[in-house]
Amino acid sequence: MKTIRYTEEQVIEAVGPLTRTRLHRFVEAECLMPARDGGEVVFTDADVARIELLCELRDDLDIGDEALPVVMNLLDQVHGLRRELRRMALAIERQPAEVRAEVLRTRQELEEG
Amino acid sequence: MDDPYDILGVAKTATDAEIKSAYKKLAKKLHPDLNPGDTASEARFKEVSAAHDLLKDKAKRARFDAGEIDAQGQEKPQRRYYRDFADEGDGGAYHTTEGFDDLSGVFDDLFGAGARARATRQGQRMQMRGRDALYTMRITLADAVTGGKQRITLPTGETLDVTIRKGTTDGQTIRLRGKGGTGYGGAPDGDALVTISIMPDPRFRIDGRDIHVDLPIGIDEAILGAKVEVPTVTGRVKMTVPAGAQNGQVLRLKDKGLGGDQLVTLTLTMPEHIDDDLAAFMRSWREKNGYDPRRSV
Repeated sequence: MKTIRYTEEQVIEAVGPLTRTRLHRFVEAECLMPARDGGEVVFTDADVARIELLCELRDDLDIGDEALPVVMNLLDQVHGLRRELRRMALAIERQPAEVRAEVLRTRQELEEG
Repeated sequence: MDDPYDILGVAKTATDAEIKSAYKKLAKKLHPDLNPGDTASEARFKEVSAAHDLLKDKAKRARFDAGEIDAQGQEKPQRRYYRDFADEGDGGAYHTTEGFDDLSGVFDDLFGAGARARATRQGQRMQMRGRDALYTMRITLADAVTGGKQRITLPTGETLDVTIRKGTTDGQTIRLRGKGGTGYGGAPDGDALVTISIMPDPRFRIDGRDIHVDLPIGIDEAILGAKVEVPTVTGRVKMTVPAGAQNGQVLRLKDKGLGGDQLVTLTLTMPEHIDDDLAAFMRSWREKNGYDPRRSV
């Protein structure tokens, strides 16, 4: 359950196409927001997976430095939406059967206008 | 794996550039992180990257074309995509619930975004709450048990006082309101989120809110009972070992844990030397009081 934390050096070592310049550029563009431990920047597993994604978006999918923050911002919004949607679905699931049916019926009505 | 040329949808005579462009086209569509909710995309993306890995390598491609190797063996170890973390909630720092303001009143209530949205509409002026700043802080086990104030130094040289509550657990996050990035256009400043990481102490094992410690005792102490000293996170305390204590028996020290107790496991330790007296005594004791400790096995 303990989160492993990596230093800047360890992350650069672990992710092939990553250089220090590139890492700093990701942070400056706010595509990456690593935590700080005292004065030192530390990275979690989630940060590392995000860095891999950022490198692939740049190298394999030709998404340029300018477009990268836009893509990530939209992606983060998708994840935020998905999480809230999941919570909402769970909340509805925990209602009695008749309430669930009513919610679904209302939803259908809205769709049909 | 099927034929890599088929997977990428290119001819056997395709140039390197054609292969690369076919791969990019498919990756844009199939990359699992661009399809957060689509589990099938992961399998297809894996197939496509494996095909690309084989065909982009001139030597491997030539051997495949000559029938020397098949398309197997290109499997990469299981990879965790960013979406896996974001879905588990580890991406918490990144995913945002800002921008739902327009959806409905229900969402306003849920996310507390309503107030922010209303302020923006009234002001007719761009407002943005400051970003949250993330920090981690390492504390000792003793600090976690007793609580107290700790200071962290920010990269800017400023310092921040963090109050550690009694019984703080590893991984807990403390929110310091308004200590994050500066808000824009009169909007509130962001918060500082400090994640606590407790430095391990080899003597103690943490289990939820309890702390475990092993305590060696001698055979005389086990048989006759004894008052012994036990290390706790905050120093040594006296504890009574009952007469006839068993190896592995667990004694409880109330309120010496992280909001829980300290559990002391007794480990029976034999004397380093068994002298003639002890051996002779055990022989005569056995004659009268012999027992079978393995009845149950």
